[in-house]
Amino acid sequence: MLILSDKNVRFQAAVMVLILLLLIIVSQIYVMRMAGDYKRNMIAHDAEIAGYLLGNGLDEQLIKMAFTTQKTAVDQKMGTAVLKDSGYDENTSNFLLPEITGFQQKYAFIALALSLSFSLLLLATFSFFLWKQDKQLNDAGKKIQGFMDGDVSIRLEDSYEDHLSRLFAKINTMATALTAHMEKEKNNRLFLKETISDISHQLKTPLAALQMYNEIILDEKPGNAVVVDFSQKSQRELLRMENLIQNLLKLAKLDAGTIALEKNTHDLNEFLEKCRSAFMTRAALENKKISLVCDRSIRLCFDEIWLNEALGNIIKNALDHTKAMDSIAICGVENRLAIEITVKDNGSGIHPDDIYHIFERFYRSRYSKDQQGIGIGLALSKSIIEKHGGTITVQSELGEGTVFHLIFPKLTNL
Amino acid sequence: MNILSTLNLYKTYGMGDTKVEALKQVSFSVSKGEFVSVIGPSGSGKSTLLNMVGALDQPTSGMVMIDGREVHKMKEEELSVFRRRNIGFVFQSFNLIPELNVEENIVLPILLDYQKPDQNYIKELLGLLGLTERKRHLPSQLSGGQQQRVAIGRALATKPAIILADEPTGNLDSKNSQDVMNLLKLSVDQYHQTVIMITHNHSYASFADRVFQVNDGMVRELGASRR
Repeated sequence: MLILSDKNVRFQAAVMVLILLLLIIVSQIYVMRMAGDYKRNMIAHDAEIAGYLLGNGLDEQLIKMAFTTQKTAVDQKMGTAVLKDSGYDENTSNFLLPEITGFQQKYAFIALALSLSFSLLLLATFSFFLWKQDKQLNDAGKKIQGFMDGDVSIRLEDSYEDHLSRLFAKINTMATALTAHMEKEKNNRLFLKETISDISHQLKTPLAALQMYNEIILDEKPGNAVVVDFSQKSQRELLRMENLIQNLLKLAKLDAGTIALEKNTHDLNEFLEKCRSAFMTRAALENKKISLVCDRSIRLCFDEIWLNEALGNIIKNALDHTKAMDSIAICGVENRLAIEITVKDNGSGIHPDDIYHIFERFYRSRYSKDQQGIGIGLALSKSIIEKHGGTITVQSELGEGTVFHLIFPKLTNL
Repeated sequence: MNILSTLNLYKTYGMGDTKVEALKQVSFSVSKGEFVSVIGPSGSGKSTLLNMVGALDQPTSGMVMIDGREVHKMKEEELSVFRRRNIGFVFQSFNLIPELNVEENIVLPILLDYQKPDQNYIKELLGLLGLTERKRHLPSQLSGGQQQRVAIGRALATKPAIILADEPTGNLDSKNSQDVMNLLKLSVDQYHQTVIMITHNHSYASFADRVFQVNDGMVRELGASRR
């Protein structure tokens, strides 16, 4: 009996059986009392008849005989006929017979009370067990919530034989596996972060040395055009490499989730102005214009250093893909739903084949003639913006220009 | 995450003059997926330790936590259910049921818990243990090494939180011992099981991720400082 292995079910079944047994016993007792009542009523009725007959001068012996001798079917038939004449038969209404009405009322009440009380008792037992099970489930639910809220040592009560306990045992196993998994994942992240910072620190030292050697060679003024030319080229490549290592380090830190953004509310216009001014020298050098339009009232919550990095990469990207005399427009707008920063240029645009890939790491366009980039800046920007809860999208027309939209939803104000 | 931890565990047998301290101040913890071996001379308290950890016996004082639950506070009735679901045992003397065949012996702990065995898992387990051909054989028709493999299968059947092995190779010759050890290691890696194994053989102790040495009831981890 699998179902009876459950202690709760067993207990419930036992209580139910007990109640039903009690019902049988009590009803039998009432049937006995009913028989007694019937007897009392019949004797009283007979006595009334006997008294009446005696009062009307019938022979006493005959009356005694009438009640004590065995009667035949013929007697019954004759008697029925006589009584029917006076309107007293089975069809006579109960209202005209007060004894019958009293009897019915009394036992109707008793039967009602009896069935009602037993029904209530059964109902109460049933709901008690339901309540108990409900409580068990609620407790389990609370514990699971606690587990999800971070208390990973919580386990459900599973040391009983019942079905729920078996289910809880499985849930406990799952919780353990999950916890072990989480721990492993965390350690892996930590390891990754440490490895990356180790590697980049190891790379930084020889790189700094190389840069220094290169500067020494340049300072020597060898008078050899080839040497000067190549030293300058290697200087450029070294700078590129330094940039790459720094960006990789940032991206890896973001990926490992080890960065906590220091979000504060800043004035957007001020921030955009700062970003713009950082590129003004380069723009002037390359004869490009950077314009800025932003409402002074816009305020946005962000980490200044990281968002500067993200926006800087986009502006740098715009500068890389524009010619002299082209212009770049930075614009900050606020509407009811979001704050949007757009960076628009009228440069070479992005080839339609590339547009879905430009945020991928190390993606290099087949169509772009630019040799400088390494394809990590936009990926970094995307990571940072997504960490701020925002999205970045791009629209571009080949030969017409490109627009980047940075959208930060104002979720808290909704 | 600690699947098993003990804190200040004491176990004393007897009273007065005959009082024996089998375990003294034992505190250690084991993470999920670790293979721990316990070594030490006879009478040092190894088996007592395994009995405490396996909830077969109650400690005199101190606490044992298995997967976040305080085993030392459980009642006997709860303990038997807890053991059935969370702990797998492998003994020196196999302890298989002679009337049941290999497959029935392996699914027995699942049936005891009124559950249906997962046929795929059992098939996989039999394959892993190299017993597929012999699943209809009775224990008496098997060699010692094979019987111990059945016992390992039985311990793995319920996917317990922790497997306790008390000298699993104690009754086997060296070749069978090697097989059983390899299998134990393989199956725990496969199912990410946690194993605590008592052994006399130091070369088998090296199979483990960690080695505990028991001496006069004190437990010490070998090479702990390097971790």
